[in-house]
Amino acid sequence: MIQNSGRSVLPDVRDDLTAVSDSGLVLALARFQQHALGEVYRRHAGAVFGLAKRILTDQARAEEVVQEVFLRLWNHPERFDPERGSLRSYLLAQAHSRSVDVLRSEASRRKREERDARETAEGGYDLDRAVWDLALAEHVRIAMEKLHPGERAAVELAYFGGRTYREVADELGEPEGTVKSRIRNGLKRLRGELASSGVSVGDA
Amino acid sequence: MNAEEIELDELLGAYALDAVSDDERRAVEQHLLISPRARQEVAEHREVATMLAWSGMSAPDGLWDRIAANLDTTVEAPRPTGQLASVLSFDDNRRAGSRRWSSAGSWVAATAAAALIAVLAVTVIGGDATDQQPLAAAVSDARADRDSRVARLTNADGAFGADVVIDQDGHGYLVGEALPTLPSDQTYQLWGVIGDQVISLGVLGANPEIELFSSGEETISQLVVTIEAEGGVVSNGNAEGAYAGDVAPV
Repeated sequence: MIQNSGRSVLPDVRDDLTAVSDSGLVLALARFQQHALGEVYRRHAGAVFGLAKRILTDQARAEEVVQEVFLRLWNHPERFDPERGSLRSYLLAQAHSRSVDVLRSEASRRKREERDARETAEGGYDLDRAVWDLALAEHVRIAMEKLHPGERAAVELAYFGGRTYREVADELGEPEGTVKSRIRNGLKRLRGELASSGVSVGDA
Repeated sequence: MNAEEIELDELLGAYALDAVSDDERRAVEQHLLISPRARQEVAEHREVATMLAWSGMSAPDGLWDRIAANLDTTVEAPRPTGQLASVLSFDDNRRAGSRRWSSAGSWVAATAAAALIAVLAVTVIGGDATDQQPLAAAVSDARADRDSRVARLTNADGAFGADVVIDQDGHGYLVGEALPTLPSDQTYQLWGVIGDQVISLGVLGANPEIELFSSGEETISQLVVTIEAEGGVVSNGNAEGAYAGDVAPV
């Protein structure tokens, strides 16, 4: 578990919640268990913010997305189905979808393009994180490198660039069907590569 | 698998990354409703994306405070109706942090005084941990079925205890991860209200996960989980700490 102790930013969390599973926390939200939401935030807000920031490259908009994602979980905990994936995966899917919505508005796209021109490195990995985090990031980087370059480009543009596969096809000058397959096969290959390097989804 | 399904399967990767058009997204979501295999594939793609997203970043200072300030804590907790409501009295002035039934009462005792209690044999239900995976899949399928019925069980403080889904064949699944683990000499016990009768549906153990029960051909209107001594009881369940909820359509 990632420890973020000692930071004033973090919510007050009851000790007895730190051992509860993600699914148990969501059930415990029950609309009124603020401490349970606080524990969910402590565990996953960094990843949610990191993804939104990387897609939007805008601190304020990324923070808005984080707020929306956690308020939505608070208001509709029943929408998380533990049988269909982990809580982190659910929250990140929400954050990604919302970020892409924001990005796809024309105004946001212009703003991003302007910012891209003057901003390059911000939003990358925090090298001060625990060794374990770096090991995971390294496994992911190596797995990405093992992809066919076309698969890697398609996955990166679609996921971090917020493009549809058709936009990716236009950008890469490839047929739409090819890009569609590359995204799907790339994700499957990544899963295999990560599994063979001993990384499981539950680690993220 | 027909040509349309093959075409939709090809979209699953792009769908998982939100990289499809609105029309395609709707088509894929229809496909997911009827294809557990496609649902599994999307879940796997999203888990991979989860790892790609790992940035090691921290959320900005003060963000939690802004979220906490916006939490709506005035929404009422689900309130049992029908027979359970008649035996559990409520405080109508419920507010955040103070919502509770004004008197937890003894729902079983009250019910016993007012109606019959039909007692089924106390049975131990559920299985060992190795059975959880197929049960989880069955729960997922039951939730996706529009003919299923569901219940959310809360205790007298409004705290959530368990989710229940009952499929159209009367197979019930209690997802009890939120129930606190009991000492080894205690057990949770599940009860169902059928018409004017309260019956024991089985003993859940001290640490329920996903537990299977059968309602047969009867329609259960409410469900209650009580805390009993190990082995359970055949009647007069313990109202202290009980979780209750209405069974309603999905």
